[in-house]
Amino acid sequence: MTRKIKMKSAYGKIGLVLILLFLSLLSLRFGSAEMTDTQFLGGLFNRQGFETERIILLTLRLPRILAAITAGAGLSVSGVILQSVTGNELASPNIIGVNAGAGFFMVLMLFFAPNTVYLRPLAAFAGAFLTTLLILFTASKGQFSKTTVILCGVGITAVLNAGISFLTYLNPDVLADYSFFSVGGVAGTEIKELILPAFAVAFCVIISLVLSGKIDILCLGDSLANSLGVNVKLLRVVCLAVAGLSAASAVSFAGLLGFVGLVVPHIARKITDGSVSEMLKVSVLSGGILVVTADLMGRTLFAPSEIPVGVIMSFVGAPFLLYIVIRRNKNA
Amino acid sequence: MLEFKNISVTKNKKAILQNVSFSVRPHTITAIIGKNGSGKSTLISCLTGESKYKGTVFFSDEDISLLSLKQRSRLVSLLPQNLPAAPVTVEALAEMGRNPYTDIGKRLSEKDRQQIEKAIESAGITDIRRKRLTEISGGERQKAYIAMVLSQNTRVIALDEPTTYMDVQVEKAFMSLVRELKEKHKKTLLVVMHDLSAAAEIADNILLLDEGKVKKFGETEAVIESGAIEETFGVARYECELGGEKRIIFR
Repeated sequence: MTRKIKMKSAYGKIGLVLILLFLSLLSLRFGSAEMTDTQFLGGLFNRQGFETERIILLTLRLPRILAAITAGAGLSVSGVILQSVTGNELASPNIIGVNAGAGFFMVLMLFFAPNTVYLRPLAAFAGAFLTTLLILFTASKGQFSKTTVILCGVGITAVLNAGISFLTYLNPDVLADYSFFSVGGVAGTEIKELILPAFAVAFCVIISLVLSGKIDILCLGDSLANSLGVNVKLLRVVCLAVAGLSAASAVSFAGLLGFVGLVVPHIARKITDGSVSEMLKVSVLSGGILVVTADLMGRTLFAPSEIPVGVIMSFVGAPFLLYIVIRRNKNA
Repeated sequence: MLEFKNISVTKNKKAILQNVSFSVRPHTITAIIGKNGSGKSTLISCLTGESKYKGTVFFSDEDISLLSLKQRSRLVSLLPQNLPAAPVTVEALAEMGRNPYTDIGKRLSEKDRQQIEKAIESAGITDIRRKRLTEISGGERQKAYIAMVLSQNTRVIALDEPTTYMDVQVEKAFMSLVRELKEKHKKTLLVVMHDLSAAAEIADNILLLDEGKVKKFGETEAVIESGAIEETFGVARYECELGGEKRIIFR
């Protein structure tokens, strides 16, 4: 890369950081509880007489913003890895069973142990990650090509979805709680819930950045990658596991947020040179931006009612995806 | 010297290759020809380590199955049937050629950089180095892949029917690039070919496979004279003069 291009991409990332900071500040400022500027600043800088505002800002809004950023980053990183490793631009955490796995375990919990609310994030995480591993294991029994992984994902996801339908059919009460989870949202997230997932997502970002050079080579196909000294099977297993971990961490507290893992990698591909390391960096930032924006819209547009992030995400994300697809077809 | 000794491959209980033995001198082009399903591509995949095989492949008297994946990729590079129009730049592709020499997470060294520059220059694609493979013509893409192989800097290059999807003009240009790899860059080339006339023109040696066995192997002229090619493919051989040069054409 020449210095000029490097500078350009560095400015781009600084720009994204600034946008994210700005949106986070807006998110902190606006919400269902209205505040004047004085109250906001008073709460923010811990002035006397603004204790209520401080509580709202620090225990309600801030964790929510951090949750949105973590979820956006986790799902986007997962999406970038999945799309690169499977060579399929339609790949998203869904294809490695993240949503179906998390959903199924959640329904199991709601069905058999409805009172263990505190265990739900753990169940979602375990369901998502174990399903990823199960799909990898099944695929490894075959050729372990890109197609095998995708088909195994489709098969196992179908079984889990049938399980979800079955259990919710038996006990319709489960359906109400499950639909809340399946829509996805970051309302009411607490800081302590976020610590582990945030570390896991950061770990996944680092690992995938380290591996990004090798992942790039996979886009040439298995034969060429092999002849270039890449252990294709091993790399694919590691990457898919990392993608599963990253998405599972996000899903554990944010529910089944649709579209983030699918849309953000497309945006990243458009605005970078297409290399995995650049896409990862841009995706972490734009994933955060997207979810923070959706959350901000969700709780201000129809205040005092709140629309969950997942709903806004689909309303905004889907048309955006269509726009990308149509524009690309025009260019082609 | 690259030597294949009693190579056998069985896939799904079907014998794809049976006791294939031949050897290749350095800095030569060996054309591998045969009908569809005769085991040509499988033979290449034994060399690149993609297929499991019985028997031994020696390079300079060393069994290459004992090499690690990385060591092997410093010895043999591959150009497959389909050169994918991946969404990477020409320069990034040439950089990928240095993968066998870089450890995970490490940046390219100064030596790597020099090799990449040399490769891009040799392939004559300095002007399009920042373009993505999706934005350039088929002919330019070939050159980009030649740059990748040059930057990989292996002594042996395997080409698996690289001209399958090319039109006649592009194919001709590609063949002269292949010849350049031998003459200018002193590479040893194994080329799976479907165009018999092109094989007769470019190869030093011909390996004729039939149903997984070696039907004929030797210097190009000897194999042509033996009549084995006509017999295997059911074609006729014509000799003609083109621009003062003798050409052999199979039709």
